[in-house]
Amino acid sequence: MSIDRKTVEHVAALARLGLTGEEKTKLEAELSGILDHVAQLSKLETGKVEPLYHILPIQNVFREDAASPAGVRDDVLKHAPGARPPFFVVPNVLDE
Amino acid sequence: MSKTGLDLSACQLADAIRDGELRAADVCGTFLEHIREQDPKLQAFVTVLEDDAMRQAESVDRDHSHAGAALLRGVPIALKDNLCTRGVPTTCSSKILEGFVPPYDATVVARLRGVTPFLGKTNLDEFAMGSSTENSALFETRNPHDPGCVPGGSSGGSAAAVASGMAPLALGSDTGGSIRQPAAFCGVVGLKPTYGRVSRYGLIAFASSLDQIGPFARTAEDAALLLDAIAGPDPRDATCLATAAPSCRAALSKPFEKLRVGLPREYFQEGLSAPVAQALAATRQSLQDLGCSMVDVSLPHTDYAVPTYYILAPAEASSNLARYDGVQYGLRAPAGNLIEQYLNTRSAGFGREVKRRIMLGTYALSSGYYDAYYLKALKVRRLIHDDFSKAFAQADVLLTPTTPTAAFRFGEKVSDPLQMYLSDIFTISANLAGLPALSFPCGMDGHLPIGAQLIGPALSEARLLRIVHEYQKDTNWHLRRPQSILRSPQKRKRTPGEAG
Repeated sequence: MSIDRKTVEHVAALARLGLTGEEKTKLEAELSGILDHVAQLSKLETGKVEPLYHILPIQNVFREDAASPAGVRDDVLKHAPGARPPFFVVPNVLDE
Repeated sequence: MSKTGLDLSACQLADAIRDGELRAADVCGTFLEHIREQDPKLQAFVTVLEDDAMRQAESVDRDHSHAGAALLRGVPIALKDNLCTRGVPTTCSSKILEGFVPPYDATVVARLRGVTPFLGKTNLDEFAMGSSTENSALFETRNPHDPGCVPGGSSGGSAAAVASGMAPLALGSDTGGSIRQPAAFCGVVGLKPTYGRVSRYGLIAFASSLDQIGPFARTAEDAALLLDAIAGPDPRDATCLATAAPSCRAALSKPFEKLRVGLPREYFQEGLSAPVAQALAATRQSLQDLGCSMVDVSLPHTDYAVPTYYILAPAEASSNLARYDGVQYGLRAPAGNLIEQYLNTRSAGFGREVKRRIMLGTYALSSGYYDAYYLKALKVRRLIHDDFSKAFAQADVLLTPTTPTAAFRFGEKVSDPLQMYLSDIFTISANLAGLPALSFPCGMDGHLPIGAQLIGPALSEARLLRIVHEYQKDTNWHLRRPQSILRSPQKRKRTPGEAG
């Protein structure tokens, strides 16, 4: 399976990764190599095999729906990269 | 020398502190001094908590009200730097967590707080992605047995700290071998518990269906003591088992059962170095001498474990690491709008291996490829899991090498990601199947340690520890100290109880 530059750029956009041209070139080769190795999975017949999503047999874990104060708001905001308590500050979300 | 505590096991230290023979503060001070001497050479610690640790130790000495309640009282510990610690920077050895100071403790940290002084936070491959600690964005950690070799990874800092005697105990995390592989490379005991035995709350997530926290120690008994302190139900982690964890340390004093030890033939084929094969043959003999019987078993899907893992782990990671967006904590790169902030922050903050895995995982989950990669890997995961169930019908535990070779040298594999991935070939299956697995020192390749691995059925931690405890009564591989440490000029230390 070989990964071309267009695919690298598409996946990087999905993952919100800004990549340099050099990084893209390297990733084309590296991801292709890893996917070649992974391709051996297709040799296995798995038509009747149920996927194993999770190792534990637990389905749902319930608890009382009761709120309790965490008491960490000020601490969280103190270390935030941009804050005007009690809010986080971010750059423009919408173009003006 | 023995009075300083550096040569005592964690159990011996705990007993001496409980009986008033040693003060927790003196013990802590001795380890901190050893860190000051050794760590500039080894670079195992990202953060050393000198003042914090001494304060915690002094409070243990002052407060006798809980004496006896916690078996580890006063024994210092090192924590992998992907475990959240209240008020202490937690870096994951990544630039993207620059400035992050968790306002809460991971559950395992909370359980140890007030009991075991925290010596510091240890280095890892960035976000626990790697097998050599070379992927740390901060610095490389050196193997105490040979500073030219890697300590393994991703918990390389914790393994090196225990192997060099800078900490009697440490915690690590294991997603595909990140406790057991560095334990083997550094010559210490490392245990990955059953998935769900230990709470993951506050462990910075890599691959949530595979991650487990576990102990590093020099002896099985010490590892049992630490596991007992951290295991058990936690309402904050829905994947943590609701059943109480039985005491592993108590199980060590029970009579030794004669067990059936399975040897999976797929783990003893080409690629295994001659010294590792010899050490494993000797280990097998030692276990037979203890009365165990050997059974040949097969895990036919072993070859598929690495490809399965390198779909599932990156897929889960790509989702878990979506949270690093520069909004609420950590690094924020300058940007004109929000999307640009995501792109710039993630591009500046993540290292090469992390980007590679995010890309791989995003690709495997993306529209058009999900069935061919992610779903396929989940089905093969079932086959790997079922292999173990069949093997455990014939054997009580499985014995394998932990790694195909002893520690490799810096730079040897870092340029070829696939070669690095293949160094986890013997450890990954236990994560995919959720099983407990333990690495213990079983021989030497020249001056480098070799590790053997025991894999057991779910929740058989006590059995694995019991075997290694018995093995360590008859052998002394776990007592080997790194030559480089012994050779280096040591200042004579002032021992507690000794005048000025």
